[in-house]
Amino acid sequence: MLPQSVVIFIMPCVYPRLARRLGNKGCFYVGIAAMSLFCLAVPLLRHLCDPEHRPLMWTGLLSLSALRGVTGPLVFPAIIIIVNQTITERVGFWNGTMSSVAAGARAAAPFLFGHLFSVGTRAGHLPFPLDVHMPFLLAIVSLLLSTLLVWSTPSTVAEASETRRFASRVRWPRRFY
Amino acid sequence: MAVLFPMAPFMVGDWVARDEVGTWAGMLTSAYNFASVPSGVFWGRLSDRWGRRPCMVILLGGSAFSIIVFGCSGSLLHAMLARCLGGLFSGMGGLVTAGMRDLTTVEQRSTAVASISWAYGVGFAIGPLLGGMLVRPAERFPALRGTLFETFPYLAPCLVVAWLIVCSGLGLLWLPMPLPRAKQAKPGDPSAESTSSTSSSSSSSSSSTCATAADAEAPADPKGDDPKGDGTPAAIAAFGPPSAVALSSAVELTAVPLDAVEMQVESDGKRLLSSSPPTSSGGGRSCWAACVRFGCQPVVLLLLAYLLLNFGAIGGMESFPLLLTRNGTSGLGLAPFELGQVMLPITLSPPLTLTPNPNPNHGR
Repeated sequence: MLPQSVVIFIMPCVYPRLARRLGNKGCFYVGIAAMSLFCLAVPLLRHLCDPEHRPLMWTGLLSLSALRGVTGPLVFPAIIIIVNQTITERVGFWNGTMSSVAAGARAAAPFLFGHLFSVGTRAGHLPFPLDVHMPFLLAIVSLLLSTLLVWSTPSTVAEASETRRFASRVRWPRRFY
Repeated sequence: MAVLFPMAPFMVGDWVARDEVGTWAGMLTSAYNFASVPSGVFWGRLSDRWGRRPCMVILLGGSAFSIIVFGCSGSLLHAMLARCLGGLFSGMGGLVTAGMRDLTTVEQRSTAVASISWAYGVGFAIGPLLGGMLVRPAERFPALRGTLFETFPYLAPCLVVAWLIVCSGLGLLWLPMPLPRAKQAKPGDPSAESTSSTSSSSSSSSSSTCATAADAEAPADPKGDDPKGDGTPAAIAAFGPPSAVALSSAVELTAVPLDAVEMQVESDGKRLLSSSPPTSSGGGRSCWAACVRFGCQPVVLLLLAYLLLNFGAIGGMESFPLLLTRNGTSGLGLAPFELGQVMLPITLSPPLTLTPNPNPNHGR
């Protein structure tokens, strides 16, 4: 219960500071890094299952669990804000598309990852990347691709400057000023 | 939806063999999500035309109805159909975010969007508790025997949820909402154009282009006349008026080649600004080129990123309990109550992040 108590007390202080310092994209990157760390470290905990390492396993498990709990509130609002700062029209359509996309992932991901886990842990263990690590590695790849896409999109300020440049080259009719 | 988590195993257990409860309980959840896939786009698009409020009222009414139908389910097929019906009315998340986008300035948006996550967290914390407490009430309260609640043992939590949904629907009456596109300025109407060029973000959808442009400019130009990012003369001077007619006529007036920035003006007054590589002028473009250009739109890339994020985050979370409960060298072999202890920090963390207020000058 200790990690959760710590998270309860420190998050209201930590997150606003972090967000003010890093901005929305920064929060997104930090959250993705933490999620990836979670996915990378969780399969390794099974090496600590023996009784003498049990306390260490529980410490790691609860720490990683708290880390995963914190990353959701970091990442999802950040990307929603980034998308909403990018769209200019049809706000309802794009936000509706986002909720559809999330529903699609919620419907497909459990089946796919559950199946991958079953295949990876079937009797006669498969070699390293294809064993129990496979669903977690796939999750990491997916998260990193998502980061790449967010990183590749122009920031709103950059778009604004491009737009301003464009606007300065177009002679607007007088009546529209 | 969270109310169903504790109910579903008992409910499904009444209809199928014990070995199949897990499978069919999962199918019940998946049915909702599959039905939600088209509904988000549909209701979002409709809300741009009709306005947010009517769509929200329909969605809330449909959700309340579907959950009562679910509570009255007498068979697995009935329950599955009720969940599908609920999924068709599940576009509320997108509309709420869009409504927040309409009603907030860029400075307020971070807090507003984070508060949605907080609300989800609270709902997911209270929902299962409610579902667990109210399921099969006639078994615990003899006064309810022989009533509707004995005939339909899962109706009570559904009725409470439906009542909560109706209450939240009443709250919409006091919520300021922007006008739908249909009621806003029509292209070609001079009076409408002048109105739209001077309107503020309170009438939002048609002026949302302008408002967003102003939002975008606000941090870059702190001396602007528009500290709230509402689309005032400074923004209009920089970005042009929001009317499509104005844009198209203005573009016609100039012969300046647009090499790096392209403005797409759509016939019904929409416009999308995007940075794109130079394109060949004139002639018809191939369908493939159009698809590539559409796929390179920042918003499309971000949607793809959102899909991958959901996929990775949900997939990782799905694999986590499987790893914890798996025996042998492939897992940690935890007991169910130990699993609950591990998952608790994850479920409690979302409500902790209320009122984040990122500085809009950073990280954009």
